[in-house]
Amino acid sequence: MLNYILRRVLWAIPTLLGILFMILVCMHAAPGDPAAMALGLGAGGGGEVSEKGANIEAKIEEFRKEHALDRSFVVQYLGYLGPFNVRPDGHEWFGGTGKEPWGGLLALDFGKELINKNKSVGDELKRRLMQVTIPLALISTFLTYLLAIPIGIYSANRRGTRIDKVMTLGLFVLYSIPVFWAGLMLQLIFGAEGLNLLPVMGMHGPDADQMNLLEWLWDSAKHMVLPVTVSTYGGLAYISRQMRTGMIEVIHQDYIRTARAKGLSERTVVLKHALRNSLIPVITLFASILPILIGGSIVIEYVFDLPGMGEYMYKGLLSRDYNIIMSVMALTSVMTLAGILLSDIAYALVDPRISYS
Amino acid sequence: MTTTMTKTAPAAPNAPAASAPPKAYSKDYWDLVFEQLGRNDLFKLALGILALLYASAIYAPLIANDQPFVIEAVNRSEYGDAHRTLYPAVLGAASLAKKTPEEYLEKRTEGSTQTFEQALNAEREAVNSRLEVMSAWLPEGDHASLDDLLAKVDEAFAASRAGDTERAGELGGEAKDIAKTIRADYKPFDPEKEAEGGKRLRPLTRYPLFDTLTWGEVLMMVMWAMVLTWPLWNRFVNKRVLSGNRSRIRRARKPKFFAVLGLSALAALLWWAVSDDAGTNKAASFKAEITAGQIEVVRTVMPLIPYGFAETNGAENFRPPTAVEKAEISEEGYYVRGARVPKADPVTGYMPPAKPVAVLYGEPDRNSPYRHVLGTDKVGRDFLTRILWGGRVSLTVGLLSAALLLVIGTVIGAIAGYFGGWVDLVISRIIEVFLCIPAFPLILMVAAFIDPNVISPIYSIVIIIALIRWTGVARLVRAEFLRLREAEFAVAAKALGFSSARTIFRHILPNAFAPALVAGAFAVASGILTESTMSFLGFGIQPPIASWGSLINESKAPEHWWVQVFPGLLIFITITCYNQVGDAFRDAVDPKTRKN
Repeated sequence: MLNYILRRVLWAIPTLLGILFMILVCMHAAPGDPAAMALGLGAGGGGEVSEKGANIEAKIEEFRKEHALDRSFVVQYLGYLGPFNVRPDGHEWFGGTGKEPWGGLLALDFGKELINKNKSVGDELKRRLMQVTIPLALISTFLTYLLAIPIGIYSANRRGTRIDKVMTLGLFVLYSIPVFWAGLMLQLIFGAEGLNLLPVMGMHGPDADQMNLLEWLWDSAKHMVLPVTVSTYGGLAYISRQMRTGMIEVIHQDYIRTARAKGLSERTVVLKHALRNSLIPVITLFASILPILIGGSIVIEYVFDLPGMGEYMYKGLLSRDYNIIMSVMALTSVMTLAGILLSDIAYALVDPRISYS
Repeated sequence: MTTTMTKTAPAAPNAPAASAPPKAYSKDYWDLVFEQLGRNDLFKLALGILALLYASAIYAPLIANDQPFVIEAVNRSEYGDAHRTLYPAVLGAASLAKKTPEEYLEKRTEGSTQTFEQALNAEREAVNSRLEVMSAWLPEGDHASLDDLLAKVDEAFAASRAGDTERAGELGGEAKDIAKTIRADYKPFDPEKEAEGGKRLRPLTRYPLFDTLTWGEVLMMVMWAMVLTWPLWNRFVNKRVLSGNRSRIRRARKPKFFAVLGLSALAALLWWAVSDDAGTNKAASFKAEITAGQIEVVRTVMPLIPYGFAETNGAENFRPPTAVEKAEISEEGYYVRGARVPKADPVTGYMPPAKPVAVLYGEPDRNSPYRHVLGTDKVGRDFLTRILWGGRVSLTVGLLSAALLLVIGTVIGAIAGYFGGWVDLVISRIIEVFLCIPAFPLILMVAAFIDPNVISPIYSIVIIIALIRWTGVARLVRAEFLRLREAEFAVAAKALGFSSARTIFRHILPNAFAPALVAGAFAVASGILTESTMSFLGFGIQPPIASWGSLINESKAPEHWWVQVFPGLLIFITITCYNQVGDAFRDAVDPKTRKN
C-alpha cells in the first residue's frame, strides 16, 4: 500500500514538470508578441509606434529583458521553475549579477506584479486564496456532497417513478445553466432591482469595519449566499446524477439481494449495504469538481466582485500580467494534480478490490 | 440479437412485385440507433429546438435587415446626381478631345502615369456611367438624346485618336451643346415643385437584400431548407422512389447526404456566378433616404424586423423592450416613466437636451410594442437583431470547435491506441498532463495573449478550444482502439497487407467512432459555453462582431436586465439541447443501455 502511494507521488513529479512546461508552451505558442500585448500595443496601438517608435522599442526590449523573454526557451523554463533566477539581477551562472540568486517556482517565488512592482504575487495570492477562494470552494464542495448524496439515493430508490423523472430532468437542466448567467440572473432576482433580499456584490457591506462579530458574520453569510449557490449547483447536478447511476448499479448486485433475502429492513439495505459501495466512485469525483470550481472561480468572482484568486487572474489577464497569470495557472494545476492524486489514493484505500501492486 | 429480430417493412401499396420488400429484415447498427432515438421524445424535442435555432441564425439576414427584399421606387437623388454631374463630365471629355497626346502628357498632373489612351477611356467611362444611370430611370422615349450624346463623344474621341484635333474639337463642341440641352430639359420632376416641370422618372425594381447575400450564406440557407424539410421529402423518396425497400433505403443514406450537400453547393455556385458584385450595396441606406423623401416608393417588402445588424438609433440607447411600460418615450425624446425621466437641475433649471426618436421608413412607431421587442444596446441597436446575428457566431464557434476537436482527438487517440508501445506511452502522458491543467483558465490565458490583429477572434477561439480540449475524445478513441485492434476484422485487415492508415481509418475507426461522436455533441455544448463565457469576460469575440456572450458583456448593470436575460437564455437553451442530444445519443449507441 505504502509502495503504491509512494509510486503515485513519484509519478506526479514528472507530470508536474510536464504541466509547467505545457503552460509555458501555451503562453509562447499564442501568436503575437507577449511583450507587446503586455504593454498594450497589441490591438490598435500600431499607430503610436511610428511617433515614439524608439521609445516603445526600448520599452519592449526592457520588458523582454526583465522577463527573460530574450533568452532561449530552455533557459526560460529553467528560470521559471527555479530555483535559479535567470533575470538580469539573477544567478551568475545564467549571466546575471548574482544579486538575487533565488527565484522561480521551486523557491516558491512567484515574482512581482507588473504594474505595482513592489507587490509580491505570492503574498497577494496567499491572502486571496485564504480569505476568499478556498473557503468558497470548501463550502460549496461540502454543500454539494451534503445535498447530492441524499438526492441521488432518493432518486435511485424511486427510479422510474414520476418524481424521479422530474428530478432527473431538473438536475439535467440545472447542469446546463451557464455559471455566469446563473450569477447574473440571481443578482437580478435577489438584488435591488428585484426582490431586494440579498447583497449581490462583494464580500462585506460598506460598514463592515464598525460591526461587532455577530453582525459581521451575518453580513458575510448574506454576501456568501449567492456565490456559494452559483458555485454549488453545477457540481450538485453532476454528482447527484453520478450518485443515482452508481446506486442503481449497486442495487442490482447479488449481495443486495442477499441482504434483502435475509430480511433486513429496506433502510438498512440502502444505507448500510448499498450506500457504502456506491459512495466510492462518487467520492473520487472530488478530483474532477475541484478544477471546475477553480476554473469557475474566475467567472464567479468576476460576477460577484469577490477579491479572490479568480478575480486576481482576471485582473492579471486584463493587464496581461505575466507573473500573475503564470502563478495562478501553476497553482491551480498543482492543486488539481494533488486532487487527482488524493482521490486515487483514497480510492485505493477504501476499495479493497483494487490491487495496488 | 440483431439477426433474429424480424420486422416487416411497411408495405408499399403500389410497389412492383419484383422489388417487394424481403420478409425478414435484419437491422444494422444504425437502424437500431435511429430506432432508439426515434423513441426518445426529449431527444426529438431538443433536435427540433436546435433546428429552429440554427434556422434563425442562418436566415438572420432574411429576418432582420435594414435592406428591403424588394424595392420599386424612383430615386430622384440618384438620378439627380447623375444629371447634375453630366455636363461637367462632358466638358472634361470635350477639352481632352481637343488635345494632342503630347499636350496631354505635358499638362497632366504631377506624378501621374496615365497615358493619353487611358485618359480617353476614363473620360468616356465618366460620361457613360452617368448616362447609364439616367437612362435607367428615364422612359424609353427620352433615351434618344442621351444616345446621341454618347455617340458624339465617341466620334470626338475617334477623331482625336486619329490625330484630327480640329475635327475632334468641333465634335466636342457639339457634344457640349447636346449636354447643355440635357442639363436644361432633363431635370427630374419633383411633385413638390410642380411648377418647375421636368422629366417624369420611371420606377425601378431592385432587390437590395439579396445583393448583400454572399454565396456562403446561400449555401447554408439552401442546405438548411433541405434539412428542415427532410422528414417530408425523405418519406416521399423512401416510399415512392425506393419503394419502401429497407435495404435500398439503407444504401441510399450516403447518396441522400451527398445530394443535399451537392444541391446546396450548386445553388451557391450559381449565386456566386450570378451576383458578381455581392456586398456592394451594403452601405446603401434605403430607410433613411425614403424617410428623407429622396426616394419615392411605389412598393417595398421589408423584412420582419426592419433593423440592420449595425444600425444605430441615436436617441434609443439602452431602451428597454418596448412592450414594457418604462420604455415609453415622449415626442420630444424624454422617457415618461421610471428612473430615466429627466429632471431639471434644481439650481440652474437646466434640462438635459432631448433627442427625439427618429422613426425611419418601415419601422414600427415610436412607442409601438414591436419597435424594439427585446430592447436596444448601448448605441441603440435593436437587440433582437443583434441576438439573431450574434447567434451565427456563437453557434458557428461551437460547431467548428467541436469538429476540429473531434478530428484532432480522433487522430491522436487512434494513433495511440493502434500502435501502442512507446507512442501510446508518450501520448497518454501528454493527455495526463492536460487533464491536470484546468482547461478554462488555460484557454483564457492563451486567448488573452493572442493579438486580434494577427488572427480573427472567431478562428482563434475555435483553434484554442480544439487544441486544449481534444484530450477527452482522444482518451475515448484510444480505449476503443485498444479494444478493437485485436478484433478479427482488424487482424484480417492487417493480414491482407493493408497499410496502417487504411486499417485505422477505413476499418477500425467506423467501429470506434460512436463514442467519439457522443463526446462531439457534448463538445459543441461546451464550446458554446466556453466561447460565451470568454466573450462575457471580454477575452473572446471583440466588437463590432457580436456573439451571445459578448452581447451580455455590454452591461452588467441590473437596470439593463434585458441585455443579460435574453442572450443568456439562448445560450442556456442551446447548451441544454446539445446535452440532451448527446445524452440520447449515448444511450442509443451504447448497447448496454439500449432499451428493447
